[in-house]
Amino acid sequence: MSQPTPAIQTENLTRRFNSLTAVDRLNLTVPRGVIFGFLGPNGAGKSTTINMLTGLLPPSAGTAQVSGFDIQTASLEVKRRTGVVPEGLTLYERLTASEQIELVGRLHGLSQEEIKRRIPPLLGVLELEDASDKMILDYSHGMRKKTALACALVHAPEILFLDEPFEGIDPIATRAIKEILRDMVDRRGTTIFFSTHVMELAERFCDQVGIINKGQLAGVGSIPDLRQRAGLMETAALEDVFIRTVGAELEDEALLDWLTGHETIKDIASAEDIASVSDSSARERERQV
Amino acid sequence: MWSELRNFFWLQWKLTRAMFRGRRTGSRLRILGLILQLISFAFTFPMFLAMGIALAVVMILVSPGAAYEIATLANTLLFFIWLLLPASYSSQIIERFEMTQLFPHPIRFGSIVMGSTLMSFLTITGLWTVPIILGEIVGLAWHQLSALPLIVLGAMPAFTLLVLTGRIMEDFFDLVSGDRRLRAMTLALLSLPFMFCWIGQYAFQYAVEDINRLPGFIQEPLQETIERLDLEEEPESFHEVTAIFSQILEAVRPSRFLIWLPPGWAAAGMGLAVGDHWLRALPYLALSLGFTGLLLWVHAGITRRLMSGAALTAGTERVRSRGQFQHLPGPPDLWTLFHKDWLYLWRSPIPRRLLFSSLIVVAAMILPLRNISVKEEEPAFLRDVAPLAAGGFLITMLNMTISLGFNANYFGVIDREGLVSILHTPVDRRHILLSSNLTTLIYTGAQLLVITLGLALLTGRWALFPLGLCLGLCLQISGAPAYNLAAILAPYRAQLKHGGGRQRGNLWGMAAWALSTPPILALIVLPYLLWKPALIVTLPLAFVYSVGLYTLTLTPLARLLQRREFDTWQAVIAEE
Repeated sequence: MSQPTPAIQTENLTRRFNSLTAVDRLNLTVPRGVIFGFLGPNGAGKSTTINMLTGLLPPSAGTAQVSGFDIQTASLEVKRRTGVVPEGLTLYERLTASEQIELVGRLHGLSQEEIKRRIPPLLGVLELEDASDKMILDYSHGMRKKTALACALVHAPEILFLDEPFEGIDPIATRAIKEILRDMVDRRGTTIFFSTHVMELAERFCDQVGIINKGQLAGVGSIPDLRQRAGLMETAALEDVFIRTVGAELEDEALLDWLTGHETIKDIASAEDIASVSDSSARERERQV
Repeated sequence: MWSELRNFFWLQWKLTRAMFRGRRTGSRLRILGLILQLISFAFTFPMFLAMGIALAVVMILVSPGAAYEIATLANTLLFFIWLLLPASYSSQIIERFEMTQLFPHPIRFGSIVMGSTLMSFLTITGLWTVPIILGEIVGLAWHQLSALPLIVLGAMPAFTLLVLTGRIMEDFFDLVSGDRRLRAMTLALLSLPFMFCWIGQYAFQYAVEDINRLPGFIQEPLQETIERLDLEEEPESFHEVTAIFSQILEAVRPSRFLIWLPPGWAAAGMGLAVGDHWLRALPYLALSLGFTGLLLWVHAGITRRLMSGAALTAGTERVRSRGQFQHLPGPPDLWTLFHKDWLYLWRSPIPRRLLFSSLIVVAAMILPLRNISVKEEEPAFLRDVAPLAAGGFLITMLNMTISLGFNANYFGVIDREGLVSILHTPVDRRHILLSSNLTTLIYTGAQLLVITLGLALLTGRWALFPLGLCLGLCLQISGAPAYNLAAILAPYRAQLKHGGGRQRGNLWGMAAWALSTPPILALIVLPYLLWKPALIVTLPLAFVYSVGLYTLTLTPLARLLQRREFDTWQAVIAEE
């Protein structure tokens, strides 16, 4: 029996913006039916990768296939099979949540009846029913994020790309969304590719993670694998794995002594000095009063 | 306070310098934008300098009384410019000194009030005003040098009064920025004075054709002066011309009415000393100073209110969906997109503002058209050509207003952030363009109908109705590919706060407009002027050309949109 095509497969995927290489020869394979966490510091190339994989941004070099379709030559096929919650709040502000979801559903080819059937439960689970006749313009950040998520889900995609999906969403809705996403993966075999900064979330939620740093893939695999490769104990948190993998130890803490308070202690040689500083501070305060 | 003010000057300097820096380094358009800005600077400042010099020269040539009248008129005009300019995009050439952004920082309240006022002097409007005020000072002082100290003393509150007027308008916009309806209403209302001035000019022209139509308070002194001057005879020398001009100004004496307005007080404070009315000048100087103080107090009050977070906000608005187009024949995704665009036409303030602006253009242009068309003494050829020329001009103006503001930046006006939610779908990219073009065609078509009907009614030439309609529609259809190209290659985020105006010139839109217009004008206007029967052939030809050009270019443009999806989206979400 032949192996099913991976959900996502990239080969030397590269994107340059003038002299900056945002993503550098990325080789990544994400199997179907997993939750894949894509982690990296700010500016590491996470969103650029997602923009390329969703067919929005053409790569400068390399290739990628999503659900077996080339992102460049068959980008519409890729879009047909994917749902995206992009970075930022990318919605039609003067539509209501229902109208926005309906728009996306229709453009994905869903029938009117199907859309009418799907929208109410989506709004319900995302706690958006009360706001369904208000323009998105009047929504909070979290409500906008939920609307974007509903748009990404309405056509039940094979692969979901979520860029910081839980940012600004309250814990109750976060839990509900996580349960839905997990069910999608377990029951329908949906693949979820999501980027986040929240290590705890990635640790609890992801089956596999990839760590990207300065545009290059620094590590990929299950969390225990990554722990092992980073030479950390089994109990080590993903945050430690992440920091070890990207090599982001604070180089010289002394540079921030002025902020952390070490400078005060270090520069004051003796107790007499401390006393004299305290006295002068007290005098200064009195003078100001 | 001084160190804080010094920081404000530093900030203003940085903002001014930022004007010459592209947002995206390395962008090819950056150089072009920079050149345009430099040209705009190089032309406008000398222009205002020339205006200041011209004002001074005219004031020197006329009598002292007339010079005072001119100063009053100039001050009033400046006052209205300062009052209305904050609502217009053209005041934003130098990035706005955003006072509200300073509130979270430990800056004294007094420093914010004073700093924001001082920085208003350093805006483009402030810099442009200086030559005009200097022109007034020179023009007045020429007649009586001894009055110079009082003139200069009067000019200072006059200038400050102008700056504070603009500042308070900015404050007001900050205050109402949370209330969409109030903001839209204010922007609309602020457009009205310009229209009144324009229409008023024609009303005046209509009245002076027969002096008896003028209201008595203007008619009597004017009649008296005309009789005294015996204007039946041509003036023989330049000196006579300036003397007549001075006498007319002194007879009509606009200062009689303008003295009731704050700019009139400032002008009186500056100018009355010229006529040896020193004692009369002083109360006006005091009044002008007092009013300036009052404006400063109001500015401080609004600043305090803004600092306390008490900006006016509107409650959330509930909307209902309107228009169902899904059952129409054709591709369903086209009608889905059209439904979205249709909703935006009703809900977004930018199309509404553009509609309002274009109606103003129409209202303003119809009056001169009427003036041309009713004069029996005009030559027959002119009577024949004038309505078409004026109508053609009107339609072209409307086309230009809508096209530059709307068609050539459709994604930046309508879609903005939302664009990516349709770009992530597998929708046929041709339908995205088709839907936007259809929306603008309907939007413009409705206006065209009103204009061409009005044109036919006013001139009594009913042939102009179908002709004008054809001209307008062909201009829209044939221009659409060029506007689509501009919308894909050079989109920008329309600023809702100021009604969607542009901070930099829409060069691409202009180029698109210039390219697409001539063939249609040649196919419709030329045959009308030269040999009307040819229209039987050229009119259908114009339609065939327009639709053909549109059809041929739609697919390549859709491919271009697909290739540039990311860049287009990034451009429309980027804050200027």
